[in-house]
Amino acid sequence: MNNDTENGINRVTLLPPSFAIMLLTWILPAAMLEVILGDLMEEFDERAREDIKAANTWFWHQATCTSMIYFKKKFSSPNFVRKINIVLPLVLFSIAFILILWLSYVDNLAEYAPGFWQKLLTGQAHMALFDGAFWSSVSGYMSRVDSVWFLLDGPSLIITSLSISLLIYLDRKSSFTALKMACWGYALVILPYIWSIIHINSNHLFAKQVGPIIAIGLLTFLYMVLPVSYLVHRKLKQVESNLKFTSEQNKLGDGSE
Amino acid sequence: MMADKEKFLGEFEQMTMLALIRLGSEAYGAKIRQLLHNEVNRNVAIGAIYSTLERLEKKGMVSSQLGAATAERGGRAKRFFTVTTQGQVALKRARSAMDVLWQDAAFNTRVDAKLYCFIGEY
Repeated sequence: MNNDTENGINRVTLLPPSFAIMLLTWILPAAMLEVILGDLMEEFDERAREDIKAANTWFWHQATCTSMIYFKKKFSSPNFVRKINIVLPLVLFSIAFILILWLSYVDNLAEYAPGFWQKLLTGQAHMALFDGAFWSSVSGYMSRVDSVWFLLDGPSLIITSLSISLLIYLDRKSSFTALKMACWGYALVILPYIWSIIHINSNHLFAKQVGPIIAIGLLTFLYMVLPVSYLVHRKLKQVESNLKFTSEQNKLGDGSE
Repeated sequence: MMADKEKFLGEFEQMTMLALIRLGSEAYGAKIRQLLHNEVNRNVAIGAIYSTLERLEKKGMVSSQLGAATAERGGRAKRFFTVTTQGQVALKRARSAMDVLWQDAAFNTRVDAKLYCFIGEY
């Protein structure tokens, strides 16, 4: 509660809940914050003069509903989705690269990480990410890399070329939306890895036979994740430029009237 | 296919635009919210109004300008909205479409009666 002196008369200013203001400040875009807060403060001021408790409850209700609306808006905006579509594939690419490198260079895995070795025999290479042995030794193996030959695999390259060609063909045929491109693209990225796990588990294979199958799943993932991200990125750019074009056309149309 | 500009307005979009017209030069968030609450019993969040107004502004249906800051708003400015000519055309089109659909709209009185009895029991 603040005391303002206005024309010599003491005027009590009632302040809304500070945590609700903080919530709005955190979520609302800068351009909208001042206007929305101003409107809420104005109505709160009127309500608080009658019943401060009810006014506080009203302010909290308005703040949470408004925050929810802008929170949803923020995380579904093309700009945000575009950023996620860049960052997430880059992170996944790096993880896949490190995992492949570790699996290619690690010595005597069965003794070094026996728990993970059993999982690997069932095709679950990703379980290394939950194994302490992987994280403690991976930096040491990074320095051992002397060539990139461990990243080259014929069948994986063929699957990647076919998958990307299929994606481009389907896009040309039925002009994909960004969402459809993302669904198809990322499904094709993960599909070989899922296939490898199913294949290993359904055909009781020897340890020597498991390696090349896991390699196909992981390397196809590595090869495809960034090109698919680029294709989705291009689609999202198109969506954004279409939105900009429509709003500019609307402004032009309104200006000429 | 209908062009983007000719798309019909949603119910809440129409309500908001009609509120702008009624409020005239006093059309800003708090007043729009109060009018919708008092006149049509729609108690909406201020964020829903601004989200709708932002969308309508992008479509070119409304335009806005910042006013002066006032003390009771903690020194924050008001954003005043007006319906553009394009917005007025869209509103009229939405109304005539609804008028056409409402003409000769007959309700099934038997279903109405059953529904009334059902609600009445509770």
